[in-house]
Amino acid sequence: MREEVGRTGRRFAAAFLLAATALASTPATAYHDKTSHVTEYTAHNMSSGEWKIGIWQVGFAPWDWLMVDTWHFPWLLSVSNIGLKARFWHDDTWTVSGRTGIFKLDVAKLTKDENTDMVFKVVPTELAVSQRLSPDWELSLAGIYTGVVASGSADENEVEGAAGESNVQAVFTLEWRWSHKWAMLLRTRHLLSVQVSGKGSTTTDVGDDGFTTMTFHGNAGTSDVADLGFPETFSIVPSLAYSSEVFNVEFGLGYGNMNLPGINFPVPVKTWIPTFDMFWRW
Amino acid sequence: MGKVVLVLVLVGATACMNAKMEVELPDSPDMDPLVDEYDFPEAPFSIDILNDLLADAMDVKNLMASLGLISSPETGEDDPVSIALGALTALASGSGDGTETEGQALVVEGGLETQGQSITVAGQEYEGDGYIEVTRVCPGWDDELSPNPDKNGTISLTAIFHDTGFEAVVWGEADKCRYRFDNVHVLRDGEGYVHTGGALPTYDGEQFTKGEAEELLIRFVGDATLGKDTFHGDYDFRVLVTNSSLEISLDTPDGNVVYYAISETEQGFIASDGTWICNIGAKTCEKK
Repeated sequence: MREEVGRTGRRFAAAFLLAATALASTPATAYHDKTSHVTEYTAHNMSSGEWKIGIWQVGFAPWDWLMVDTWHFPWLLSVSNIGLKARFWHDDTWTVSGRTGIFKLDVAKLTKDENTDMVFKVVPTELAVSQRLSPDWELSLAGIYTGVVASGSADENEVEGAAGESNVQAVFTLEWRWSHKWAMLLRTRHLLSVQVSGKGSTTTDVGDDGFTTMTFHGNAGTSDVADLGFPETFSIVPSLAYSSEVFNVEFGLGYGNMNLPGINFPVPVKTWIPTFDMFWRW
Repeated sequence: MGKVVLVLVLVGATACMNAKMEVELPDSPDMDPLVDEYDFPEAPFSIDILNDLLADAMDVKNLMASLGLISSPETGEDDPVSIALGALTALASGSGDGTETEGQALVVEGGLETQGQSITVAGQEYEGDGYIEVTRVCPGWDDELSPNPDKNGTISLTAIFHDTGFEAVVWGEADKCRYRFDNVHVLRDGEGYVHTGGALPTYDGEQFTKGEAEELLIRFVGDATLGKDTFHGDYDFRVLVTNSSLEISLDTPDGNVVYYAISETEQGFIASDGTWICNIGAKTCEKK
């Protein structure tokens, strides 16, 4: 065996890591008023007919209750993706919404290797609740389940199967609006659990005469994610957000396990986490 | 309406991704009825049917010996089933060609090792339930040096394993398998089943413990061609490793009895009314 599901998964993650940490982004906030809210990891949506174009994402809200967005840089890595966010209910204090999306990586397109048919699919599903504590303070909690499935074969020596490393995360966002244009955000992310499920097969020669082969069909192991979980995998990132009528920028510096945005892969080591995002919303 | 659809999409996506992807185990053949047949013969022994029983036993014994299923030390040849089964046992128990043990780790061809609750095969980590398929390309009638499965056929064996070790039944298929035994051209095509007893190793989450083979019950269903003679049928026999005895279940009008042979001079029958030792030459038997 030369390559395997887990190795290709790490390559997939690494590709994201490279792109995502080039500027170590998190999607930014939005204009700070009663009708224009932070939309990432909160229950809020953009307003009807509103567009957002930034250095990481493009989004559009056809209605107040629904927005569609995509991370554009993964498309350069043959990762097609789209996200849908629906606001289910809201009043002056509470807002509840759900979000889902899909990231699909066709390894053959990425590696230009015709011998592989491996496809990764990542489906993050999020339920978010936001509570307006006062005119200046808001607290949001988002629970995110991210399912990962890899299927197909990824090597030249008969490894095939499917595998997934799915996880559950909780993201708290505390927003303090200093002014109409400035806000401070404190975002903490906690990995609650990691589930690995998968199956695969490996064929290897027995003896040295070439007459006997053994194919091993089994379930993927979990030792590589044994150290990930609650409470040891977390991050805490304070940041500042500036919003003008159209232009938005956010920057900050935190610490912990970096999370690959969109696909929600937690990086197993703790590091400083710089954040930067810039977008235009109108 | 749109929100309802979105909710359904969210729930559906979560459910789909939450579906466990686990290896589907093949259906293992049930050999318990055959094991019971050997352990608890149904019919009593009668001296009146001794000749018929001996004739039936010799037919099976000779056919199995001709196929190489019963070892023939004088020839030094092994049949492909024995080789494949031996490879399977060796792989999992850390002995035999191509395997070596390193402390608690088991390495096969630089590839299979135990790590806590998981097994790593050629870099891919596995744990829990699964199965192993061993395929042996048959050597052909010309003892070819390189494998040619299209010309000479294959023998394949499948074994299911769990966290605790292997299931007792190993089964497989001979697919137009050509080999030579005692200089006779053998062609086998059919299915084979082996109840290994405790032959395959157990696994306690840390290491394999080599199994102690006490008995092997083997059943072959299909065609066997020896030279120009073709046999079709359903044959079975059991080898007791502890005393190197061979047992063959034989049908009678009242059920089955089991013929046993420990040596040329120690043969007899196990029946519902006890064990009988026979003097084959004198055609006499007495209850043990």
